[in-house]
Amino acid sequence: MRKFLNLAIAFFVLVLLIGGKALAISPKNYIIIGTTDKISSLDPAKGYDYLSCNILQNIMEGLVKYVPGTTKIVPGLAKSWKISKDGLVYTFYLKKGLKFSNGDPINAKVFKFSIDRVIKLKQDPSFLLSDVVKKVEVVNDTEFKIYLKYPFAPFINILAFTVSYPVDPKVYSKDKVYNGIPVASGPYMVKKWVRGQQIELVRNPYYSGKKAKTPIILVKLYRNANTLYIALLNGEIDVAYRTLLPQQFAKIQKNKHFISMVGPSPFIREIVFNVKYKPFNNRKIREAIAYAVDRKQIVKDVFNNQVTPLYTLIPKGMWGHKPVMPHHNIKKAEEILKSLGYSKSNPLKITLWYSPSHYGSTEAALALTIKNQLEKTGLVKCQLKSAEWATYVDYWNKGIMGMFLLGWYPDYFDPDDYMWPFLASSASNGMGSFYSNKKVDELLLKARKVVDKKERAKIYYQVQEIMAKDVPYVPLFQGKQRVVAKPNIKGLLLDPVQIFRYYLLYKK
Amino acid sequence: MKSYILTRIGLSIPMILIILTIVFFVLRVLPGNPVLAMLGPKAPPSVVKAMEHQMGLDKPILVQYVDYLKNIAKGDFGHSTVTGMPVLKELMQKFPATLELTIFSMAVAVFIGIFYGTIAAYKLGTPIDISARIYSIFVYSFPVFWFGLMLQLIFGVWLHWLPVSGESSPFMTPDPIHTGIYVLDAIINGQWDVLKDSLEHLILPSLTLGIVISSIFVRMVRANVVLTLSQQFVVAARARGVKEKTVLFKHALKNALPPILTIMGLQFALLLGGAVLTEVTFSWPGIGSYLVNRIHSRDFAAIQGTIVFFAIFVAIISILVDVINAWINPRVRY
Amino acid sequence: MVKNSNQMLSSRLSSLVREMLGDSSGIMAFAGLIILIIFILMALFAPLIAPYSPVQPSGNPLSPPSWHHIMGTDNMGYDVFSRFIYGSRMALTIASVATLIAAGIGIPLGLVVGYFGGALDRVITMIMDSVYTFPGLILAIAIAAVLGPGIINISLSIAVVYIPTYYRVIRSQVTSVKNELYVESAYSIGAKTSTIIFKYILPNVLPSIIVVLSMNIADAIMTEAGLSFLGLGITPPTPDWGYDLANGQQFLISNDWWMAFFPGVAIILIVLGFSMFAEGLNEYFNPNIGEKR
Repeated sequence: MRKFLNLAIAFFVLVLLIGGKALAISPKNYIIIGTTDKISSLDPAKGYDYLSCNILQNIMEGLVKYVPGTTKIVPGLAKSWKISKDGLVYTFYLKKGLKFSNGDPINAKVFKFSIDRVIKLKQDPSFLLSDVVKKVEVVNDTEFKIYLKYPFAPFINILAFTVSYPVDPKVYSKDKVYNGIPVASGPYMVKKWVRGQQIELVRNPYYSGKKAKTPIILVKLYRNANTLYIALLNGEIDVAYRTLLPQQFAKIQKNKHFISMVGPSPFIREIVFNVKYKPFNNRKIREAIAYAVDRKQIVKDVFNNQVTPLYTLIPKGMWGHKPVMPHHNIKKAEEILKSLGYSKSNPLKITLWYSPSHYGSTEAALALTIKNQLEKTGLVKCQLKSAEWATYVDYWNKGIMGMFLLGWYPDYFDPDDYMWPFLASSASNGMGSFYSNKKVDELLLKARKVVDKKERAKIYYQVQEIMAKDVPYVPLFQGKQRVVAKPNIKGLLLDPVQIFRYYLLYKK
Repeated sequence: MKSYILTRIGLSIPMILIILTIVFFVLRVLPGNPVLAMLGPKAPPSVVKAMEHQMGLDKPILVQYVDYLKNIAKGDFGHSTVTGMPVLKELMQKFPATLELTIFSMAVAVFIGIFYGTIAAYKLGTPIDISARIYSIFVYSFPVFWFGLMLQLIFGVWLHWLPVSGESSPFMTPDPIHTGIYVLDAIINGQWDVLKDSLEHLILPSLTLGIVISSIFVRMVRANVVLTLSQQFVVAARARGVKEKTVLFKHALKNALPPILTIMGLQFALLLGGAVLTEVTFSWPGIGSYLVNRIHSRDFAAIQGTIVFFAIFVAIISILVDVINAWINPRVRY
Repeated sequence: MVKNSNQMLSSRLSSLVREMLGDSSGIMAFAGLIILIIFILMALFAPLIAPYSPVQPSGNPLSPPSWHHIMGTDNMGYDVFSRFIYGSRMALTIASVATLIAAGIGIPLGLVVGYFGGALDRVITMIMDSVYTFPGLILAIAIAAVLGPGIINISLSIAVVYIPTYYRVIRSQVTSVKNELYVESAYSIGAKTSTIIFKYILPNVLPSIIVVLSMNIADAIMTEAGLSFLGLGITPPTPDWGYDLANGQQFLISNDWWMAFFPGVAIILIVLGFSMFAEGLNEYFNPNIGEKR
């Protein structure tokens, strides 16, 4: 017995010492990306959170796409398109001979199927198409028309977003969400997907565009920023895009073994009020909270100055942005609360909800900081409650949460995407605020129909001013994109639309 | 012997049933709608109702319970509300990783336990013995996840000796996969570089869990060996002039071993609990990580299925331990 | 008469203490007891000992240990030392509530079932054995995940896991004691069943309860820390060692070690205290055969 044990130990030790490192795949051929984001779904009709969309953007392509690093729209799978004078009919001419990663053809019928399917399945991103698209008509194999309900200037941008990506009718069912390995139309395709753990992408041989620079991409999912950071420091991943803690990023910026880049991002964070939920149905209370919030402290203490304060819903850097929200003024907050009858012995009792992991590991600190800021007035007692993302989504749709933290990545790069989903009566339920204002609805619809940018901007200024008075939301800050990588990784591009393009990465 | 095995298996079924029942009813108590979480909040009520009907969620709870039991007996653990895949299939894919971790951690714990415990018992009252007693009570109070982090920091981040997460380096998985236990598959395939890589990834997690569990083993082995050493046959062997080493390892240890097997069985539950924490700390892709991930997505079928799976696993191990014990020691059988 | 019996009791107690201190197991029990008393006092007098409020920012976030903050501050600017002190409340509260619920159900159940035996005994014992052999932490995770965060919920999920422990210990003691002579004689002179159980059997099984209680509280604290690590523990900002340890781990590698170090030390010390107390008592009263006394 002991002899066997000794032999076994000796064997293992021997292997550890001399077992060579003959790799079947040269390290030059793959890049490992690490993140703590989760993939909820790789079905374009359903995926609506950051990582799901990001992976879709690397394995699929839409009719149009952005020039990397800009917000300029250029042809994607479509060769060209025409927009009718009244802005109601979009005619698309597809490139010839397009194929999916499994060899099936991508033609006009495919696009009609995909768009109809998104509208039928009524998942999270469906409203982007169902709100504006009336019907899709196939003309021939490479030509089809999309009819809109009303002229909508940013529509072409929606066609660059994941919701409009083509899916293979032979594989995807038209009345069920698809959970299997995606059929690709972009530079990469999915080779292996171990859910919750990692996803392996390889070059799509049928892709019509430029070949991806690196043959294999491995995206590894980590449980929290800590495990991601340790893996990064230990050299187990090549790139960490987003999801590091601010303190960790600050430390790594000084670390000579890594390169780090920071870029602007259209990602915003905000407090949402359910305006039907007591006491947040009282506009003055929402206003008082808006005065009590100290964005500068949040930016400094929680995020290490790696984000910037935001005083409206439209982020800075996008046209139409107008800072309208009141600045931190604790005296004004106290004044309003006192006028409503609150005092030290009779404080305003409220609950702030947050989701602990969806927006990164800083969320608890963010919620705590806001709670402390509100309680500094001496007239508020704020309790914190948390729920994991699936429950959180369920709760805000049911209107269970009166005041909660949320964030927003743009689906398309247009101020309409920061206004309509938040403030239009037909969409605000989806945001959990249940806000409804006839004047705002009118203005937003008008802004959608007008083509001239300057005119649209004027309308959005008006809407933002109304929003500052009604306070259905308290925009908090605007994020930045951060990426950390080993020095031999090239091709890192921090895109203004925040699409992280794996197909541009390569190892020197 | 056969009848003993059958009796033991028969007795395990109620155990699995009981755990299943507890978890089933507790999960149903939760407010909130799993179907909404699955379909998305914008799904129209008619679609939600249709899905509820399809999943059998609109039936009375007792009917659901009976249906669930019938399905489990058939091997149908339900489908994940997150991925749509059969839960049992997902569990079987991830189980070998947990098995590998469990085996190696237990090996570490038993190894340390037997050697440290035996030597401490032999040198009763000396500093070695005292150190063993301190070790066992001190290490027992280490939180597994804290200890794991310490090892990650020292051997990974500071010394760069060992990897700190995952089961293998990219593209270093055994090819083809036979059992799912990477170490075993690599040996079968003769892929020595893969074997080395898998072992390297195993070291820190196994040490983390193994050392913490070894605290109990050290204490129990020590107690058992002390007991054995005081017995008549040992005194007799010594009187006959048998060498000390032989007395210790051949006579005393052999007799102290059967209870150690029992201890292993008893501590198995503790090991599994610690395995869940270890898997999360080291991003080890086993059923422990699976359980925690699915809890956060409110994937009821997966949570329930995993608990049942754990119950079956524990039952099988206890049966095994009892059977081996009965084989060694026929007096135990009933 | 009363004075004499009191004297007898105190002198018996003091001679017991002296005997225990002469033995290594006894010393261990006492050392554990001292650690426990320190923590209990810490919990009771927290507002007097803690220099700052544990839930109000009192300094710059992430500042290292200094004269103002002897254990430094965490990422919210809370004083780590104050949270260390107040954390004892949470640990002892959750552990005590969980253990009390578990004992409150397990002990009476064990008493009654052990005394009456029969079919009830077999059924309930089977249920208890099933829960007992199942990994406790995993069951606690599943239950806590369903119930959500909160002191009561966490205590409940931990309590469920420990009910069988008390049940088993009490039941086995009761079944062995119930055949003793003095019980039979009490029965024969017509004492009521409830009297027999509570007046004769219970006092004899009580000592083993103390040992089990102690070990269980240690386990409960460990389980709670594990739940917090997995994100299933209490909601901030309530001071809790498990939560602070899990939170502090994120800053460990950025060299802000004090956030994770002190809560970790707290958990290790208190678990050590309970373990030493339980182990010491157990070994003292039931020494291993063959060990020199």
